[in-house]
Amino acid sequence: MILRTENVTRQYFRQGKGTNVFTALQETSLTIPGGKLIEVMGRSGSGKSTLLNLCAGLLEPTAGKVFLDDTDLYALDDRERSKLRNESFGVIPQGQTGLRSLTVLENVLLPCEMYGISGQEEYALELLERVGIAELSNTYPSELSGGEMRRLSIARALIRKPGVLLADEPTGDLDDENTHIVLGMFRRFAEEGMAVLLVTHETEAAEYADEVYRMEKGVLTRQDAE
Amino acid sequence: MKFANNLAWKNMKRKPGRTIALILLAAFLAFSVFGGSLVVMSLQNGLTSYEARLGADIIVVPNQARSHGSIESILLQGIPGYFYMDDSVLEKARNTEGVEIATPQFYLASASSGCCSVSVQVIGFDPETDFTIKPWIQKNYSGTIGDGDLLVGSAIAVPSNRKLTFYNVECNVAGQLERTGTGLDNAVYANMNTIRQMMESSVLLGFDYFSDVSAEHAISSVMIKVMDGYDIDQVTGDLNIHLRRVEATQAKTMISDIASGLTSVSRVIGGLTVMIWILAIVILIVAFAMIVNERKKEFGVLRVAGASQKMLSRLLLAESGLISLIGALAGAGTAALVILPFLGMIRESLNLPMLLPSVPVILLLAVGAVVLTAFAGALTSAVSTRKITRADAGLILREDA
Amino acid sequence: MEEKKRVGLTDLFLLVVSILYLVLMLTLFRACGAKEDGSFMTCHWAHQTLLVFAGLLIVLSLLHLILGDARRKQGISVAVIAVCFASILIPGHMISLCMMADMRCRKWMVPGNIMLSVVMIAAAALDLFVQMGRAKKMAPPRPPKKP
Repeated sequence: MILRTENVTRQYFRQGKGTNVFTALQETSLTIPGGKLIEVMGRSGSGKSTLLNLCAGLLEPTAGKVFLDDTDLYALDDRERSKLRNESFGVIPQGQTGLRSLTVLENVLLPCEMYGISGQEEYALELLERVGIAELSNTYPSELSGGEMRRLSIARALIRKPGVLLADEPTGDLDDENTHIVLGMFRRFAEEGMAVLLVTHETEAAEYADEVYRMEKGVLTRQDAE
Repeated sequence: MKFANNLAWKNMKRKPGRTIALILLAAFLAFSVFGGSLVVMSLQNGLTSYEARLGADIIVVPNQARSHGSIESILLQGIPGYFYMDDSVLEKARNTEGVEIATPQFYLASASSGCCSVSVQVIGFDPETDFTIKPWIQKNYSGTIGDGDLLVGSAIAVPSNRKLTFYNVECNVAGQLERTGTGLDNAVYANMNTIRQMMESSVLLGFDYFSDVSAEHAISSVMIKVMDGYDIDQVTGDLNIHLRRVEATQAKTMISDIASGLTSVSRVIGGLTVMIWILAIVILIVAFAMIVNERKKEFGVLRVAGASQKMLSRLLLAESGLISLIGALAGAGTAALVILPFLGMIRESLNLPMLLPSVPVILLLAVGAVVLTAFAGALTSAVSTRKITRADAGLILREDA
Repeated sequence: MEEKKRVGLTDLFLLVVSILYLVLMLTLFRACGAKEDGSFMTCHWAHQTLLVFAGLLIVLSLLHLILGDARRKQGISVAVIAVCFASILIPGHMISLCMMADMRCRKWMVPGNIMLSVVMIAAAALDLFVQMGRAKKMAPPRPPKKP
């Protein structure tokens, strides 16, 4: 699968004084092919999360288009786009992202439950095993540490076997050891054929990436991967 | 839908304290609507039946009975009482122009009767001329009301041998009257011969109620039906001019006191219900807004995982709907448990006639209250639902919680 | 198993309501006492029967609290429901009451008895469901929760 943005721009209209338009992302074109890990680096507020949300079909661009293979994401209506996101996108959002009323296992199964897909318990446990928190499957998110929560997010993002994986600051609250474990996983996912977009402000990630971009004030520039 | 219900259920279970508080609020809504409408309807029914049961256009009683309100307390509250006048009033009333039928009634308070240490109101009537009591016979045991026969009000428990004894006079229960929701339900009715027998017996037993009238010529009231074409006001006036030491009162006047009581009780109930609803709805709206705000991040996660906007609103609707439905059922159930068995007590404390509507009407009221509450409860979440589903998921997630 | 010892909300609720039932039957919802001549009205005997039932309900609720096994708790709930139905049938049906509707037994005792019995029946019925869930949970033991 290939995820491609075509001159996407996103502007925010701030409420209040007159026409206060803030451009978070300027005409950006980026291609994320399957099998590659693309990293976008930048300070917070540089527009990188905006780019990721646009890619995920969560944020409508002010101009430009986003394609998954040949499908124009924003030509679909909300229901179709949501279904596509459920089937083809694994998104790991920023911060603590567990539904507190569900156990770890139920959280991982959430994307399946949502569309009435059953019989995925074994695969979910396998994923939890893979991210190393299988023994926590019956606990609730409030009892998890930051690193454990992050792995829960990863397992949930993978449950539908998506072609595209989008991760927003996935190592933000992790220690060094865990950071490398998680980044190593993403590397493996890419090698297994997924199109992976990693958005971060940390430099450690560069060594795992195939291509590295830098985002500054909404402008994306290519950097040479080391 | 199953997913939404499951998740809503789990969310409710995860915060039991808040869930119970919200359910209680919804219960208040249903309780006030169902309980309030049930009481008001019972009052209206009571008034209608009281009016119908009085049956007469004009009631003539001794002066002191009217001024002390004894006639009302007998008819309305069933507090046993007695007052007497000479039966010459009856003849004079019959001779008054415009009077179609005049029938005497006789009130006697029993001493302790049968098993129980409470007095019962015994009302004597004349089966020949009666037009106010016989039409209400609901259960007829023997067909005729002869000497020694009794008709009993609906609230009197008939012993299995159908025998009741007053002042040593053993009587047969010949029939039971329909429920009126008034004091008349607590009375027993006998013909004049029977009641005179009781009177004589009471005198022998040492009771002395008839200080200034002779027992054979004593009556308590005259019920009058006015001929068609005659003005009731006019006839009442004539009676009051011609008859001495008694007072003729229009039944309408006696009803109007009750009607105004009913209006004020209905107003209080209505006002309280409206207040409860406004308060509870506001609290529910705020509570759901808080729930949504607190779980903003979760809605973001759901969007990320592939939930459409419709799914999110369905989820919120399921949660508020389940809460308000459970609350509505609990509230309507509690109202039924409090009002239905204790109606007698409520009637006594309001001092107004009360008669429950029929079972289908009660069920309809209950179902209506539950549906209304569940609907209102679900609607209170709609405000917050719009806010959350309209927002871009990307924006929700950007706001770090 | 820790699951077994758990005292649920319905256990406590049943016990509280059954104690309340006894207390109210002895106070607010009691029938008339002896008449002046020392004899009793029939409502007295209905009242006595209800007091026995109240005691029985307390014993059942205590058993419900003490026994851990979900299936046994269910059995006791069924018994509670049966006793409560019987208690509704006693005054006025099995044992006759006083003649007038505005006497204590018919104004207080019967409505109070109906109200509390229905509450007990509802609580016991709810408990049947709760215990059904617990019985299911307890059947295949799950891995213990991590603290």
